Amino acid sequence: MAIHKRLKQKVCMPMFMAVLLAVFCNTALYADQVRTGIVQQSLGRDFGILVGDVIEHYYIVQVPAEFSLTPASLPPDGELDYWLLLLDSDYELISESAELRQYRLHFTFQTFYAPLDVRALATPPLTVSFNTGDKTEQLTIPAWNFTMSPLKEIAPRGVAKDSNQNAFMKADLPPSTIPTKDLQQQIWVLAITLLILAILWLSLKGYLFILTRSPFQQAYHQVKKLRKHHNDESAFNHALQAVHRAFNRLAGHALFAHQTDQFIDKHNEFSGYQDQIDSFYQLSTEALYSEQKVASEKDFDQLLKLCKQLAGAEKLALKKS
Amino acid sequence: MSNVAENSENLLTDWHQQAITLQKNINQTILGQEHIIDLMVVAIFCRGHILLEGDVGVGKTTLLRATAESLGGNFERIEGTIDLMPHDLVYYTHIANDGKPAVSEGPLLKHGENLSIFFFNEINRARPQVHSLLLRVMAERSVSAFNKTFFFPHLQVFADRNRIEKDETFELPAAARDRFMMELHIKQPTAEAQLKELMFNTRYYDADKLIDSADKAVLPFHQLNDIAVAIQSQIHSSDTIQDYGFHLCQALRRPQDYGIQISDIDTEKLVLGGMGPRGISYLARSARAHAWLNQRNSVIPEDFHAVIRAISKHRIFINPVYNYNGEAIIEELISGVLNTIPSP
Repeated sequence: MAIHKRLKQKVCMPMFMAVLLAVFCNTALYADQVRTGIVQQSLGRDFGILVGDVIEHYYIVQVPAEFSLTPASLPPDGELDYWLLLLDSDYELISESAELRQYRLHFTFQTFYAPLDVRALATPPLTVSFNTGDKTEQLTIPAWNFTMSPLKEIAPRGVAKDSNQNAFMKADLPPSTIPTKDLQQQIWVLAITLLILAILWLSLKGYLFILTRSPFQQAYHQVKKLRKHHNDESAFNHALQAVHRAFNRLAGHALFAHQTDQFIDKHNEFSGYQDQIDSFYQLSTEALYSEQKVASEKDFDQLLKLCKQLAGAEKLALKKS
Repeated sequence: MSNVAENSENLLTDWHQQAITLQKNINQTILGQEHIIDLMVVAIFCRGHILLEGDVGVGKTTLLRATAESLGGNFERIEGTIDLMPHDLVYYTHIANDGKPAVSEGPLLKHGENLSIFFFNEINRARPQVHSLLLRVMAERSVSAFNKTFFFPHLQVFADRNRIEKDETFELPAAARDRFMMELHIKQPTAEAQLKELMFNTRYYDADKLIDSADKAVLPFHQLNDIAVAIQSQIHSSDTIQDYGFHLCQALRRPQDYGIQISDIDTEKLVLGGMGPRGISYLARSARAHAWLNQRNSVIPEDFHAVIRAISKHRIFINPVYNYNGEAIIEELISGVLNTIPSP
């Protein structure tokens, strides 16, 4: 019996040792093989998500070192569902060793689901491929369940004292404005000062009542100024132009020599000056069209006299009317 | 003053008297058309062609015949008909005295270089083929036939058309109308005395006798080209009047640029074209001739006023949407331009 026991011990021990070795070796061999999978993930909160929110998911995945990510296998940007948009998907190789590679995957979604009450939803599962030269391995990012909240209450209770059902949303706060009262005052003071200066300048230059003056008064002032340059050949032409402008303004159209009779018929106040007006048009023809007139100071005086007479006649007519 | 200039001035003075004689001679024959006759004399001294338009029986043909007879030179007349073809103006075929078929020169070629007036009666009854031949005759004063070119240096074309009848007529193309220096619209006299005279004075009953009673060939027609050149070179146009003439033409083409308003009309879209280089040149030439006829040595705005309607009316082409009242609108446009553009 003892011999049998000893023999049993001699035979069994090596067998046990061999089994142990085999188990150990097998475990060590298995431990060397890296499994493809998600190592770490950051998915943010899965509740209280509102319509329009952007959802960002980060995954760190590992693959055996000989595999590398196929970029084209990343889901393309665009609509995943009628309510879910994939805004962006990208990846980054974050570590690499002899045994494994680790990638960080980043998916950005935006949800447009507008629930009227709290709703459970899920993003669809996404698949990413890794390959070596001849082998391909796929990793599925699982669906992500979350709940979406409505933007407003279904049964409004009103805000504060306002029980109006349509007013349960709070009004925006009015923006605070920068005080401009001082600036406004400064602008007013500046504007008034400028206006006073402009009026002062206009009155000094003699332009202040120019628009209220009769056309012949205006012409008189223009001719008077031009008289100072009587030696300049063009001065007399400009003086004639000024008087012509006065006639045109009063007639309401371009007035020519052959229309003076009609003009005087319409403006009876000038009837006493028909000869002077005809002489002016004759002088103008000689100077401007025949170009046979060499103007002298006397001609300027004749124009000034005519302007004064006609302005006087006009003033008298206005007083009478 | 150089001798040439002095001779030229004397020539102009002599001719002025003859122009007045011509005017009087026509006025003695035709009653109540003094303004039209003034313009015709202007055209004659610019060597421009004239188109008369007016109602039936207002004396268009008589006026043109009287003018042609007064001018002298060889005169030819043709009636516009629907079957008239261009070759009818150039030659005609007939059986000669010897019994053989013969080809003879038509009204255009018959008088050669001495042809002075070619009178085309009822021009709008002729076909466009005939208008086309006239285009060349009027613009170049020449025509090609029998393998050679015939020149008519003294030729002036007078044409008339009635504005009432439109059946079996052909509207003159714009290019043909543009070759007429003036298009004159004849209206019947409105003065009571003149109408009574036309009604009861037996002198006006027979148009042939009436024309025969007037003096013939009061001008040496072969010198008209030279005097026309002398008028254009001797009558002065100052810078001021040149500016005025330029702005008148510009305003007729682009009234919106000059603030010209016509009631119920969008002036921006009104004028499609008109007053091209030929038109503006005719305007300046006729203004000079008008100044000369009024014994002035320089052009003044009134000269433009006197001729602008006759020169520009048929050269302004307006947007077809306004054609319903085209004539009145163009008239209003010209008045607006004259009232708006100042000179100086």
